[in-house]
Amino acid sequence: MAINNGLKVILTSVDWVYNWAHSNSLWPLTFATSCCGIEMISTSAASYDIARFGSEVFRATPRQADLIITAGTITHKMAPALVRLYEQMPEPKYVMAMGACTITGGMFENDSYSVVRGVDRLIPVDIFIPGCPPRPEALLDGLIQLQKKIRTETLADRKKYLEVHKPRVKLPEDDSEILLAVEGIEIMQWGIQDKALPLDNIEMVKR
Amino acid sequence: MTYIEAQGILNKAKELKTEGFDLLLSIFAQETAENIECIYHFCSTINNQEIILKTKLDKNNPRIESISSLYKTADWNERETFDLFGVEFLNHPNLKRILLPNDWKGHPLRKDYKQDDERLSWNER
Amino acid sequence: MTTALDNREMLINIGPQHPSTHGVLRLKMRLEGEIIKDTEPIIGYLHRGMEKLAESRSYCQYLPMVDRIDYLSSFFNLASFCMAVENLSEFEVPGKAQYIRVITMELNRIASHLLWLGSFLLDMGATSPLFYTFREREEIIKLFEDLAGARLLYNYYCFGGVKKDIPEGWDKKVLEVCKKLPKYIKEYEAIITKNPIVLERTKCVGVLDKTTALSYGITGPNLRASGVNYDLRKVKPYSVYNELNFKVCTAQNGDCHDRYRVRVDEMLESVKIIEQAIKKLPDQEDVLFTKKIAPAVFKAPEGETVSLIESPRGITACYLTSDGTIKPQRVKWRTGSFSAVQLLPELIKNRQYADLMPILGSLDIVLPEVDR
Repeated sequence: MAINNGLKVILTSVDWVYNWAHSNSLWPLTFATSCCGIEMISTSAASYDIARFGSEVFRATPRQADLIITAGTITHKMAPALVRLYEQMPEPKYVMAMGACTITGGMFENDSYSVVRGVDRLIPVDIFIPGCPPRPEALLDGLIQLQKKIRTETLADRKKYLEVHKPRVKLPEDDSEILLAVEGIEIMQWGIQDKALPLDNIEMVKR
Repeated sequence: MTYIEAQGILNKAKELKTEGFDLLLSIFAQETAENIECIYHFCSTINNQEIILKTKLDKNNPRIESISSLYKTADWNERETFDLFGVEFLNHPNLKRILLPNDWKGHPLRKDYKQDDERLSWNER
Repeated sequence: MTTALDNREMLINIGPQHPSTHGVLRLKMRLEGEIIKDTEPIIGYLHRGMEKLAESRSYCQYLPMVDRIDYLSSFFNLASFCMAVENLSEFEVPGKAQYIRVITMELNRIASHLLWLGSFLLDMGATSPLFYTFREREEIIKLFEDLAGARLLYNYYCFGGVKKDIPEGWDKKVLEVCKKLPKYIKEYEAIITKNPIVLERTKCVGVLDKTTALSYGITGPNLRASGVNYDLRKVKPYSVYNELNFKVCTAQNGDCHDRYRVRVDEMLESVKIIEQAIKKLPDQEDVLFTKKIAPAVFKAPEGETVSLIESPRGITACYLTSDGTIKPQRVKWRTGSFSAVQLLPELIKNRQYADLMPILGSLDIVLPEVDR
């Protein structure tokens, strides 16, 4: 048996165990800016009980979290804080865009002067949960979808994934509070991608 | 609702305060075809009265005396009006932007406001 | 603030992402040991430009946005905006719609206070009250869901009335919830009111006197806790509040514990209002709004108006200027939380750092309402 082959077999089992453990204990960051935040609290409260899916440990610091649920509108003033929080999270990290505001800007998309039109212009998003605000069931569904997605990953591919998992904007170096775009990285637009698998995402951004 | 001259706002506010109008509900501005109007809404918890004062300011250079020395709440309300409308309040202790980022360009609630900040090009629709 | 730092002091930054700031508030503080010397609140992290957006939308298009100004009491914002438009267009709201409005608003007040109670105690380190209060809140939310079809943002009122009739048996369900609520609230009193830890952390902490409160434009339960008997439902009754019998809850000391007491009493008072309103709810009358309006061409007559409402967080005022077209010319929102955040530095000055959270929690601020 070739070493390569053997290595592969071992890695897949490691992958499986790793992903199983990882996907069932996602620790979210308490990042609630507006309406969706209340539904997020509802989800963690008794009647919907997010603890059934192993995500009840809402962490207050990004250094202990591996999932950020962007619950609520992100404005230009908030955007640097969001990017900084995302950068402080340890790998592997996942982003869930909860609610219409964080997907496209929602009802503010058309003509608001201060709302960011979707968090995917700032940071890469894994799961989108539509709704304004989404019901707790929708958030739970999003969580299950994310767990499924995590189970398809392999440790070897994570390196490629890291490339894409960089913020798409620059943090200001002076005391300015407005973010600048990073050259070369194109902002994901709606309607281009057809598959939600992480590897396909990489291809798309390169293109 | 009463119209008063912009210069007289501080004296009028003093007068109202002694008459028992102890609650300043809000200060805001609105734009009409000719000028910017600065509106003050006073309320009295003692004898249950309300009064709305209106001042007309020059559109190109809106300036008015600050009343934050009389009513503490005027401080932030005036800052908000400055931020969104560009009304300059004279003798205000700390007149800077409150809702928008520090280095924002323009005053969004003006009717002729157009967002053409190049730094925000990544957020275009 | 940074310049005046001597070597015994330090600067500390809280937020904008912080679990206890109820959203996205940022506080820059100057501390000397454990004593807070100076605070500068920085707001605007959720400034969505609600007032500007009104100018590019027709009246009916703006109606669902109004909900988002304060998501914990969206019925109040809706009522405020609808009342402003009704003032201008001289719509008379029919009796049944008025009573439905009062019932939904008071239920919403209870739901909002319940969430406040849970998060207030969560701020002080007690996790379990949140689960208790959400149990009751969930029941009220279910009632709203039956009524309007949404859990949080209802968009149920329309200009001159309400959008649809209450579903069959809804009033009975409301009465059932009303019967349970006082029992639940007594349960909290047993856990919270006489709890020595809560008493220690809230009694004589963050004392707000009458004149300071009025000078800062504080309204609502925060003002009433300081001994000012000022409730718009009593002094300037809107809707059908003058036909209902209730008392205004006040307290004298103005500390965190009094603010807690006033809100808990208000919940019990709201239960009474709802029970009366359900009894008086007209039975067979089918008129729910004055006249059917065409959303695309609805024009409010030219003029300026203001509508004041007693929301759970103080006076919510909607100033509306119309120039006779289909879009409002200017909409301005005055909210209670905006003044409360401004008051915060005054209340926590020269206090222990540990007092920050009870004080901030007891003011009951909701950040979208501050930033709009």
